[in-house]
Amino acid sequence: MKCTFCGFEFDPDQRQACPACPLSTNCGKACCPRCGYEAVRPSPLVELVRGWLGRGASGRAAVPRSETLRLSDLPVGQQASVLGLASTSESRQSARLVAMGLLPGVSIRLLRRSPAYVFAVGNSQFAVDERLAAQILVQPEQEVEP
Amino acid sequence: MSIPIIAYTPPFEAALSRLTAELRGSYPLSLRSVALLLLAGDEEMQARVAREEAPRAAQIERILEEVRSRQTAPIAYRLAQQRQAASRELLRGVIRQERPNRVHLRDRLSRAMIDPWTGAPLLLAALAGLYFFVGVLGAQVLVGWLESAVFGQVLLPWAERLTHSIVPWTSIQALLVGPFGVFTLAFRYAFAVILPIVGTFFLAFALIEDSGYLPRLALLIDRLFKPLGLNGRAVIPMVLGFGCDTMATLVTRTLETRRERVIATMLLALAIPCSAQLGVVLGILAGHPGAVIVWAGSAVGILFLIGFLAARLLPGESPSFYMEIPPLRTPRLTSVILKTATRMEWYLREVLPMFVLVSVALWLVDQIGVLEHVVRLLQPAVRALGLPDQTATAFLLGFFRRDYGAAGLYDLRNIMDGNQRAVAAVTLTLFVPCLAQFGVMLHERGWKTALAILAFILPFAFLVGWLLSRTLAVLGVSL
Repeated sequence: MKCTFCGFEFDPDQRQACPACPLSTNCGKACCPRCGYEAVRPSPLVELVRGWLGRGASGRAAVPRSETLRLSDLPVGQQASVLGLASTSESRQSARLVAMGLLPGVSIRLLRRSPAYVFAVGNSQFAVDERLAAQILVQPEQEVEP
Repeated sequence: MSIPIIAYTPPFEAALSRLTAELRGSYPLSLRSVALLLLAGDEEMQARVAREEAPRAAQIERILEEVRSRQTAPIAYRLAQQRQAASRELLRGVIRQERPNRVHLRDRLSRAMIDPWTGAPLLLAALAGLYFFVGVLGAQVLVGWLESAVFGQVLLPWAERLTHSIVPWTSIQALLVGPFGVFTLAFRYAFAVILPIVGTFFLAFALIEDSGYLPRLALLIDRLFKPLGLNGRAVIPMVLGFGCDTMATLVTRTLETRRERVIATMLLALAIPCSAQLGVVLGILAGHPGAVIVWAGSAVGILFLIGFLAARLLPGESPSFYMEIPPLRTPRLTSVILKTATRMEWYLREVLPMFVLVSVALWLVDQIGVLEHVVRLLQPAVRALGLPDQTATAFLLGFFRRDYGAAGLYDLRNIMDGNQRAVAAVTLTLFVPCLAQFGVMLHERGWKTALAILAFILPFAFLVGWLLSRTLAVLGVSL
């Protein structure tokens, strides 16, 4: 996992930071070996609760600029610009995405991810399912709007 | 030759001029447009060019293949991108747009409709409203008034007197005002029983349709429909089915794959009762809340069970969902009323001849005495369900029109207890689609699929009815 404080990548199962702690075997937290910041370990239950609170994979910290993401991984509310499609084949799916105006350089904002992915492009809003949302590649532009 | 507004990148322009040089046939578009459609992979234009340019087809295909091999993204995508850039260039400095920062009430409402936590209660509220408007106001108040006051006390006695004074032959009298008469059966059912129900439904549906709620409902329901092999889009035919399954079966055309269309057609024929049927079924069940729950639970359970099995058994790609979400709007009264009026007119034109035809057919069969035999064939099945013998006639009528059958059953409601009402309502809901719906199924899905669906539904409806009546008897429940 990635430390939510300093961004250091580490394996939460190694528990380098807490060998002395007697609770560490089943501890639900993970400490960053670099900065010692304590965070909740990812687990199905935690993800479920986060989903209920509306901050599942989405609500995490804003993704740094210039990283390529699938629309399905973009945090809700963050402005991004479309880079293109994940698949290069000439298919019905790509035709649909073109019809929605998802062309490179167009700015896009994810409005919600449940019960389906809703995004705004120009003056329109569209809903797609997860499979289509994963087809759209985007690049985050700025910080999450409050 | 006109100067093109958009100059594409050199490789595309080169391909376009090579392609236009090959095109000799006659087209309704400019050659450049034809070449662009070819590049974009338009199937219709490819077929037309293959016809018109048969000797040069190989050469054209070679040019297209050359362009395709040099592109990393679909050509249609690249072309659209360049067009968008050109239009942006044109509009630059001409259009200015201000983004309002305020969140409007309609945005909040829209969000509440989509969010599962608030959307589900809103959906239930909408359905409850629909039930009170169509099921209570339409199916009970209006039908009651039209049937007993207008038809029962004024029109029918008048028609009877007139017929008896003009027509001397009893069989012809029966054709007009007998138990299966054109006046007593066809006109009464069409105007007094069905019209108020369908009219109130169409009015409510037009309001829902014009408000922009349906796309939001589709979005809310998408994940629920995926296990059934359908996507959220199918919510529109399904909801329409509660109005008229015949119309809804036509609307399954909007679904993308054949697999989805087959599943939706089958579920409509099986588990979605039309408004007329729904009104009458609720009328039969009125006063027996337990029976309503058993009926609704059975129908929903079967919808999901059969949908789930069909999605497993039918081959093909699982559907994907995409839909534009237009802003919510306050419906315009004039367009709502106009739409309702058009649909009611359509409905009357559709059903009245059918009702008259059915009642003439029934009269004929009744006169030669065949009806009793056919009804007698159905009676063992009906008895196995523990229902009164007369319901066999209602089930038979149900094939001519679902609503017709339900209305026939409605007349019998007082001789049935709660359990019998529940069993009859479930069986009739599942039982065959009406003649009109079956006609549309034949037309839209082809005779093989339509007959297969029919062959499944017929025994299945009675099987479920039988299981239900057994279960209720074994459990000793009386509803």
